[in-house]
Amino acid sequence: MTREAIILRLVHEAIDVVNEGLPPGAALEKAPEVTLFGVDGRLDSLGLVELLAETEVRLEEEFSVSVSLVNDKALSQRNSPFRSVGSLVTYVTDVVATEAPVSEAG
Amino acid sequence: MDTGFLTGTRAENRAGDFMVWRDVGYSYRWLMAAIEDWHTRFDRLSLPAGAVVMVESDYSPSTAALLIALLQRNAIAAPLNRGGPASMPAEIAAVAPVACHVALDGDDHWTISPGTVPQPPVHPLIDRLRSSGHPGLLLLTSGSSGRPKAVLHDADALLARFRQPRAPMRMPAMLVFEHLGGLNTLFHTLATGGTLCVLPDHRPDTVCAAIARHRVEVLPTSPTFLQLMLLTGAHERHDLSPLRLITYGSEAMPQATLDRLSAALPGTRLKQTYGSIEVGAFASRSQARDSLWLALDVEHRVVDGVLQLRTSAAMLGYLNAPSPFTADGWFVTGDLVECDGAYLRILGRTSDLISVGGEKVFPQEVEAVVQELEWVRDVRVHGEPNALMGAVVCARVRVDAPADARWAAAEVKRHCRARLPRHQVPVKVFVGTTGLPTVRGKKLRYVRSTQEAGG
Repeated sequence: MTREAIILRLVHEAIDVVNEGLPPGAALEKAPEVTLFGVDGRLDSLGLVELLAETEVRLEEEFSVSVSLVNDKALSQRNSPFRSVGSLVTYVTDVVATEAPVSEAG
Repeated sequence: MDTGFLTGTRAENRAGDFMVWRDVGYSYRWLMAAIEDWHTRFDRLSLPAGAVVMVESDYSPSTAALLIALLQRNAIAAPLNRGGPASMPAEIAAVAPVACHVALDGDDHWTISPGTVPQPPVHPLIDRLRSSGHPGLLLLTSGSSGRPKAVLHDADALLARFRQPRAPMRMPAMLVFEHLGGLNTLFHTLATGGTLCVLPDHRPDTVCAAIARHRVEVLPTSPTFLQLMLLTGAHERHDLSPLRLITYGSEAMPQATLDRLSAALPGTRLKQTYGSIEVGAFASRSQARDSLWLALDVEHRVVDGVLQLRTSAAMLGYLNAPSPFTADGWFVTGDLVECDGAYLRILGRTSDLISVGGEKVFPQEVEAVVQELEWVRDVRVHGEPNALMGAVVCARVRVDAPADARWAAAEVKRHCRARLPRHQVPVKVFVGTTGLPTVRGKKLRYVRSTQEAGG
């Protein structure tokens, strides 16, 4: 399994946890184009924070990296990494690549 | 200082035991003789009134005699737990001129060594105490939020409330010796002419067996111990019928634990106590045995939700930190409270408060809800900085048997979602079987263990 595929699986698991707390009918689908946060976003701040927190604990287990996905840099990007499921997976993959070189944790 | 009220002034008490130590009783008569022996030793050293004496020990017959001798000499006693952090004696020596250091070992054998040099300049509060001619107690705070603060008490003012005669009581020594709660248990028992039972350890079975064997009537303890007792079922294996009163304090009592305790021991009165190292303990009354609302028998007021107290038993001050008193003498406790007429409910420490997107979260409230899950052994809730919300709520949960950490974490979230407003639900839940951190017996909320599994 490639690292990106693993990250995709972890984000999907995090979505499952967040969905448990959402009202019936509001559950997020696990598709790249699903909007998360911002214009027409399906999550509010707290929902996004939970999704990212659930992703962080899974990254720590899987890759032994301690990362903070919400930071000022991520929040100030013109194209928010949190706008959709797809952009989040790309962003997380980049963050993990910086924190853990492929040779160690691939 | 006249300490007659601590040494069994009533003639009928003299033959009674003031302490049971290693299953041997020590009488008030023994105590009086042991106090005189300490005076002989200190006279030989020409120990003056006002001298600072470090006492490194634990509950024992000779230690009790030593503390009383120091009170009688108007010295300043600085009690430290034997086996506590090695840095503690240096913390004392940094703030007060220690004249001598008395150490008692596990067999109650003593050694006296000279104080450390160079000595710090004499703090104005020590000067003030010395000129009043009263004895002192110098204690260290638990230091859960940084370096321990050195608290100086006028022992005469602090112990004044024990001068009122009360019926003799048998109590076990449950709280840490060097803490005010521990010293309070010791002095309170002596003042009633009662008996302090020193236990080899504080495991629930040891404590419950001692209650049955020594006919212990009052159990001053912490919610953590009571929770452990209920979980291990120790109270069902021993006869706790002598126990008339359980007092608990020093940390938040989860309502679920109180309810379980109330059901498990229907014949025992349950009372929440309130006090602090800075102001001592005072009388309090729980609204009901299963209620966390309590009335305080001390002058108090609430300013911006924070409890303030005014009492003559309050410390003279800190020797190494800014004064926590207002200009008109109120002690700012740092405890946030809710009021209902004469009753108060402690919500938590202002310093523990988590602000999630501007909404306040009290860790204790969340901990109480997590604790409702029967398989949860212990829990700590703390805030983690977050760029989006300011802070988020995190929980570290201890379980007894290794379980599926993911499943357990999801269960904790599910339960909290059902019981709490959304911003109070922990976004991160870590589950493990390792003990959660404490500092000298107090819960610590900010350190994360490396052995926990995420989920």
